[in-house]
Amino acid sequence: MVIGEIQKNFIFPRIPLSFNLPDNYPNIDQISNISIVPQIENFRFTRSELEIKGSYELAVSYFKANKSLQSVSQEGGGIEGDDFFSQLSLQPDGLFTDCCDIGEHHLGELYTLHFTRHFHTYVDLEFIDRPKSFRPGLVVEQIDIVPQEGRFLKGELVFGLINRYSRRSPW
Amino acid sequence: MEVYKEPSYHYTKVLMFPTAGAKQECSGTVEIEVMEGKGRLIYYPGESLRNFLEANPLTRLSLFICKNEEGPDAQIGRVTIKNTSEDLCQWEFNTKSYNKRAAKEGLFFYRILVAIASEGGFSGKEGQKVLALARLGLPFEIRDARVLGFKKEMKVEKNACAKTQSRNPLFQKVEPFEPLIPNSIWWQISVQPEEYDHGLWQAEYCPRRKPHKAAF
Repeated sequence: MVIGEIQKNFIFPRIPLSFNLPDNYPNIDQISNISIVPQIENFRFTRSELEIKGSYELAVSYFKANKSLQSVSQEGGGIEGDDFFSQLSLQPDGLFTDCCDIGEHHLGELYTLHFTRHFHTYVDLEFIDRPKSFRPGLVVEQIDIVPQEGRFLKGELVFGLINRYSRRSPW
Repeated sequence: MEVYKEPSYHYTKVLMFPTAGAKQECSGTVEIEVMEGKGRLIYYPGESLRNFLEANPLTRLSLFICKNEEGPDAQIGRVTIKNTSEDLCQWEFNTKSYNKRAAKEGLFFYRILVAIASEGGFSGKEGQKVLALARLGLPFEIRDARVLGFKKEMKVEKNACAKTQSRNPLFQKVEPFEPLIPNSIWWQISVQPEEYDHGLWQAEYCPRRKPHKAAF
């Protein structure tokens, strides 16, 4: 089951993305994950092309920028800042373990934004072999989003077109 | 009330971050694609992790997919990370209970970790060093694809004619003896019964004359 083996009929041109953060959301430090769910609402075949109408929902999760933590890590420095025992934690059986191995507490709070955009495209019929047995489906080829100045999201999204006609095993 | 149709395709790209060292650098990406209930996860190691693998070829590095809880049951899947470019580090899974209203009711949270692991799998405590970590919420639940349900016993359906014929010896078919000679087909074509013995070759007296080995 490898999606790379599904033949993509057509790669759509890149869609540039730019989003503004709503006011009540904190600044972005790092983007954690991006979700895309494309939905095709309807499609129809005309003489020379396939017309597709639909929408896609984009969900971006990010860590908020925490300025106070950054200033602490930059101190480094003297003996007072170097607390050897702070990295160890006392276990119930009396032994010390290095709690740096468990990195969960390094992750902060995730904030999620949802955006929905519509699309309406035309695909030339030369890319489609048999229009009678073709049901279009969209897959994501590439998605890149970078935060800019902590408040803007900029990126690009590339969709690919596949045939969803009577697919029993999807891959 | 609108009928909610579950979307057939879902894509998520997750960025993994190192737990130690420079937190700004992304140490790999995970792409999760789900199509009609079946999903696939691919891990692309970042630059620093690939250098680490080259520098330490004996270290066993694995990608763990766990639920967002502690304990031995948390681990759902595990993939060994190899440094070759031909071998994709991928894992397949099934999904269940896709929930669009999950945004309000709560997503299913999972953690993806890159860790140096011992044979026993990830338990979150000693013996394992976590190199990179990511946490994500998905509107569906992930299950390992290797867990199969119970298979129904498939009964082989014999030919219906065989059932209607009972074991009465009058109705049992008599198979003609056909020796396994190399040109048995040739023999059957060349030695054909002639029509002079009019009564002998009628269907009732003859064993099965069905030309099941006709050459054409």
